[in-house]
Amino acid sequence: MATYQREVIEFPYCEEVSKYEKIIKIGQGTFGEVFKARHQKTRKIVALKKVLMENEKEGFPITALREIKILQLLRHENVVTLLEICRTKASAYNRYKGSIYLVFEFCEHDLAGLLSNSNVQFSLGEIKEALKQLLNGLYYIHQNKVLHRDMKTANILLTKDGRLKLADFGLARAFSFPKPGQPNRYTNRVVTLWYRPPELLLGERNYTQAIDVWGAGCIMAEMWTRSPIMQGNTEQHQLTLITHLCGSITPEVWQDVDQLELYQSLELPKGQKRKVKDRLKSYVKDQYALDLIDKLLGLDPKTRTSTDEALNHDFFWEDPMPCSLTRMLSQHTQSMYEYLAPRRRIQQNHPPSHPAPPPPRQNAATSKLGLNTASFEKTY
Amino acid sequence: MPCWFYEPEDLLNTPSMKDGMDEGTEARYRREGARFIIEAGTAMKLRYDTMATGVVYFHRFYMFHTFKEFPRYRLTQGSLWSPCDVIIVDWSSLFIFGWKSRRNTKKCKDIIRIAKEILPDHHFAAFGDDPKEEIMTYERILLQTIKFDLQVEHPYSYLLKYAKTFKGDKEKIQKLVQMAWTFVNDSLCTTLCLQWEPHITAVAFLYLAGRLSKSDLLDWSGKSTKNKWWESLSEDVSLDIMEDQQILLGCSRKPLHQIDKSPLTSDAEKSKDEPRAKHSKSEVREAHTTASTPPPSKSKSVTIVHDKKQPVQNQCL
Repeated sequence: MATYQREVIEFPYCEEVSKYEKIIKIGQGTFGEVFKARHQKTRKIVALKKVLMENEKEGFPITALREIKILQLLRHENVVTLLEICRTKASAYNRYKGSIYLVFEFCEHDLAGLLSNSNVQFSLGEIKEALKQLLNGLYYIHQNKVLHRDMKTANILLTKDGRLKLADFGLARAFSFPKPGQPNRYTNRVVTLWYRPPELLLGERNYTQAIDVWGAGCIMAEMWTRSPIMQGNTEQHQLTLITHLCGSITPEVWQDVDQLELYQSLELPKGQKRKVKDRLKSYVKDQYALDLIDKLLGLDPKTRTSTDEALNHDFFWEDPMPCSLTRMLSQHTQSMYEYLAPRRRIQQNHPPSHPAPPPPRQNAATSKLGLNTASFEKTY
Repeated sequence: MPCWFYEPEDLLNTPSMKDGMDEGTEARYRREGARFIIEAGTAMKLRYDTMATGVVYFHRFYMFHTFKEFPRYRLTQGSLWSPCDVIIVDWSSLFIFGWKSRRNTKKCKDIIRIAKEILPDHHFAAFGDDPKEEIMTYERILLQTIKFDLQVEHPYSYLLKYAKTFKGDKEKIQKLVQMAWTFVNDSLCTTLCLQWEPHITAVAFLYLAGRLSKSDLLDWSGKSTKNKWWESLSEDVSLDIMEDQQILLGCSRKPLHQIDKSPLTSDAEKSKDEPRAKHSKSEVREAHTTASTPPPSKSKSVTIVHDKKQPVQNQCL
């Protein structure tokens, strides 16, 4: 390539990442590593997410382009803010393709990290506040016709002043409401297995915002159980766990479920009763909370509660009212991330194929690495 | 977010012009670049808005880089290519990206195959020994230049939206929108997308189409509430603005052989004869808010009407 004269290319809109100094690696996103970093001059702390390019045969990864595009569209206090995009210097050494970093506002904790630390205690009011912010963020992105598609506690960030933010839009996409006779054909290889809703497991490709609501339900229960409530190690296993909790999947409770692609080929336990409230009541004492979890974990996506309805649920409007997370979080000066949590905990509480590759996720690898089936039973 | 809209004087002071290129040549490069993207996009059966996105990226790109800078390195190799042949490399990369950012995910090799099909061999040679690597390098340069700003709106969606508000004969409405749509297609070859927000362009082109077709459709226009129909569509549109867009479109509609024969004079003369917007955008908007929009000059519209009577080549649809 005759690129030798390109050495000085000016990018007024894309500054060099060297203006930040990396402090520590804090995570592994869908498409790259995440670092805590400090601006050399202003001392401002940010999170740098490196776009992994090594295995890209089709140029800049489309997942990264999607994440950037979506983050540029979204501006909300409960959605992580993309500050800018930086680059490393392009030179002959990297074939004029330096690395690209997404620069985010820094958040001290992620929810998975907080929940895995038994020193962190949420009061009922604080749980309400966190969930309210989570649902507010979801409501906002859904209003903007974006599906998150990777709801899980590791992707929920919290700032030290008590602001919750949805993060990692690496799997997100824009959606449209299906027109009659023209169903959408989205990939169903999304959402980390433990948070994946039944319609995706049954092969639905014409899915809606309800897939994120299911994830919100799993996360809500996890605020009390402190570990993921359904830790399947294969799609089949995950469906079995869902049935054990939410009852048998039949056309009676879920209209037209028998039309889904995998309904016939997967084994769906019969005669199971719905026992969401029953199985969670030893953890969750609040009746309103139990009722909301039950509604968020509705089997039929068409009748599963919406973010809007959830926000109007009595849970948020009965005493104790949601209260600021600032006081509780201010007691914890040490950042808590799932990635930095003790090793033992990671092995115990991770979907088997973590860190998951970009979609398709947790498929073949899942069964190979398979967790001990006993581990999920421990959850209850 | 960067501002991707420029004042007329900025467009007379582009990186290429600072680098010694004259206005006519730059206009020609831009036109040819846009056409290549549309042509290749049509061959790949891309959606109209995907191609338009590629073209917008292309125009933005050359507000930061010069047409000389980017293809120049090739010329130093003692090749026989002229600069305009070589910018193909840029076009292709712009366009790979335009299509990737929408969901038409095709493989890089597809674009190379199509470029090979539609380009003469000596043009295709500009892609070098490793066309794929070349395209991906340019893609990266492009992304960094345009600040990864992937949200691009086009006048098309506004045309459709506004058309829904028109009342009257369906066929007439369709004709009107079709005409405005063609103007949008044609305007991609100009720097219009660097000057006006897409909703303003949409209103102006509907207005223009209405005038040209002597359509009575636009008379409906909520007479009871507002004075002009376009004011009910968009608050920041004034007659001045629309006249300005007509002039631009008029420029682009000039018989192409004339422009191509004498790239050094045609556009320059044009700008002397018919000075473009007299006001800066902000002034225009101010004038509008004080509700003192001057009546459209008759003679101006007439000349444009003549221009427009020439067959409009529809490149995109």
